[in-house]
Amino acid sequence: MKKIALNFDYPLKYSYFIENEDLSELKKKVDIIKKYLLSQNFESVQIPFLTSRDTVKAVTNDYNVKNLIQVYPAGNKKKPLLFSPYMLFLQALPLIKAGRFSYKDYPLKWFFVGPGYKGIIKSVSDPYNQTEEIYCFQGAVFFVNDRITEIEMYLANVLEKVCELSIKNFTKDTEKLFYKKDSTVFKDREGDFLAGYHTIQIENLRKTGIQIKNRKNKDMNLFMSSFSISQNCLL
Amino acid sequence: MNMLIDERSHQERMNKLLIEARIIAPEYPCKGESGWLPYGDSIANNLILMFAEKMRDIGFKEIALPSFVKGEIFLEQCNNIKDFRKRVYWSDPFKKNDMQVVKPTIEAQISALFARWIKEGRKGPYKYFTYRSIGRYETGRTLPLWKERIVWPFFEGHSMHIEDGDLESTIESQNKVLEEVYNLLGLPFFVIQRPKVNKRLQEYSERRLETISITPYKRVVILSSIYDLGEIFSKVFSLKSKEGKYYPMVNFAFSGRLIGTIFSNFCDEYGLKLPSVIAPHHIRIVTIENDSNSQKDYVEKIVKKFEDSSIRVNIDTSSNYFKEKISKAKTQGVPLIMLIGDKEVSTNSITVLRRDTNQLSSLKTGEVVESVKKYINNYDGSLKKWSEEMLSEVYTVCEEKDKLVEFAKEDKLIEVALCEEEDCFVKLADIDDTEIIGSIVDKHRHKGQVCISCTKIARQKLLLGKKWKGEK
Repeated sequence: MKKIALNFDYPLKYSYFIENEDLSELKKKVDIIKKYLLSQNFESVQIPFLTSRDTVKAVTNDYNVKNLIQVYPAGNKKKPLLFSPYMLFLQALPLIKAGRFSYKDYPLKWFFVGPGYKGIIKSVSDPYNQTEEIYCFQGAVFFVNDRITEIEMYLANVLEKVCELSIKNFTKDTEKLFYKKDSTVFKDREGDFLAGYHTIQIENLRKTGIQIKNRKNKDMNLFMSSFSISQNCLL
Repeated sequence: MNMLIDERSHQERMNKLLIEARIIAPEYPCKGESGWLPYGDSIANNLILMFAEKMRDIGFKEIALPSFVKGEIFLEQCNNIKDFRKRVYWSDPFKKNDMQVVKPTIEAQISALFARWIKEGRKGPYKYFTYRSIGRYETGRTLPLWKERIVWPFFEGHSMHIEDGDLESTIESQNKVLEEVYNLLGLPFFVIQRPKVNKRLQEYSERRLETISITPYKRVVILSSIYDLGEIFSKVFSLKSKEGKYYPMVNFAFSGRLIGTIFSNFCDEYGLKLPSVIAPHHIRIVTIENDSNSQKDYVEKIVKKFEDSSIRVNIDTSSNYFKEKISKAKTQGVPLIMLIGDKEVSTNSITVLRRDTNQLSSLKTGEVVESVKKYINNYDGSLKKWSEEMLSEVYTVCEEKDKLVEFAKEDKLIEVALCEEEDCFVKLADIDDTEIIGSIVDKHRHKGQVCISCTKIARQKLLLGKKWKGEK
């Protein structure tokens, strides 16, 4: 496959733009992955790139909100919002809460293609890797029954297939990335992050106020297996 | 038939529809932000891809730009737009006192690149487009799709013109793109040029061309804009030739508000009626019984017939009751609903429910693909007719000065002929309950007519009306 170049002539440190044949090639790869995810009955959604600190705090417990990129409306530092946290898919939670989904609608399999920052992944210290990814996939499987092993195995297969579609040689490992929880990560030969997933705890999701009732009007547990596919898979 | 509705009832209908049709989830915890659910996302993508293809056809190339703009560069852009710096989101991502701005528009980003490319001697054309979410810190009331802080989709084309005449021909091509798309959507529109009466409007453009339409509650909305920026930003970013000639620029844009207008124009008490070009599904197939194998097999046979066509077919496989499935398809504006029960299986037929007329009819399976294709054409035609009829209830040509006040009180969209005298213009601007929307871009429209105010030879046609209240 053709190697895609990012153009770092953009007048901002570590930032780049993509144009011409490089963008066409990249979008072809985006389409390949998108088609694959759609064939797996994932649905494409559009999620705002800013979210509230409360949403992040509710789910991540002791996770340090300060490690995410803070954005100030009209420059007012008193009320920061948080910018697109990579590989957490937290912004989707308000949609679940507001979307009036019944237990029959689950599992919901959503993904989003758009910008994301991986600067928050602490194991990545190279500034080059702290740049924004203009096109990365972020997604999740939301499910209501205790099927963590089954869903995680399924996601592992999906992400392996995605990596295969892009890069031949990759490794799979477990890392403690977010609030010290285990995440499964796929990396290329140079150790660059390709894709990863982890499941968010039930008790944390409860704090977001999402309630799902079963046919007998009893509360059901919600799980979120969140994943991301790095732009590295597209280059 | 009265197709008009008061604003409050319309807004209530739209709020309900956006949720029930699973378009967006408006209750996002940050003000002015909405998430787009899969069905809504698909509609937006169909519209974007249509525009992207047409922009490529007229020589524009896509570019993907980062989310942040260097603060200093953005402030240069702000010199020409009062208070813009207060209407954006700021950040210091790497905590190094290096303030950056969340992308609010393409201008500052692409102009900085153009400046570099000119120095490098890069050959044109300098014509790019991009689509993404942008951030605008709106301080007033926000409304999903209409006025948001995180705007999705935000589609922009930006061009810089080196050759004489290229600017005009680009504007002409962009207007053609808009005409083609709005005709496909069946949306009536006017291309207008804004009069230079408002100082703020003059801050960042030499000429503002806008396509406008009307809502069912008789308010004028802007669907898209083409701003002839002249040399305003070229001077800011030093975009000039070695001889010192500044290159003019043009910005083309539309936002989620266009989708809001489409929804507003094409809906009734049951739900949306989506134009086929943006409808995620042209056909929704619903079986009367969820567990009937014969009905499922029959559906499979029908779907196979559409495999090689461009018709988008969707089967509702949910466990919902039959009536709920039909209601959902109607709410979501699916052009054609196919109903399959034992009767259809045994008679080798399909019962279809047309979303435009809400009438049932029967099709033979042998000719189903051709029949559906014909139906889709008719369906789009009937939406267009519907929309034009709605416009005709609001739009009027006024030739008598005395009637202007009466039409203004009725919230009409009024077309008048006018000379070029400032006095005549001011007299029109002073009429209560209406305002000047703009001059219709059509060289021949005023020919043979006289000014409504002074009866001298007319030089232009103006539109007067009431703007949607969030419109500048």
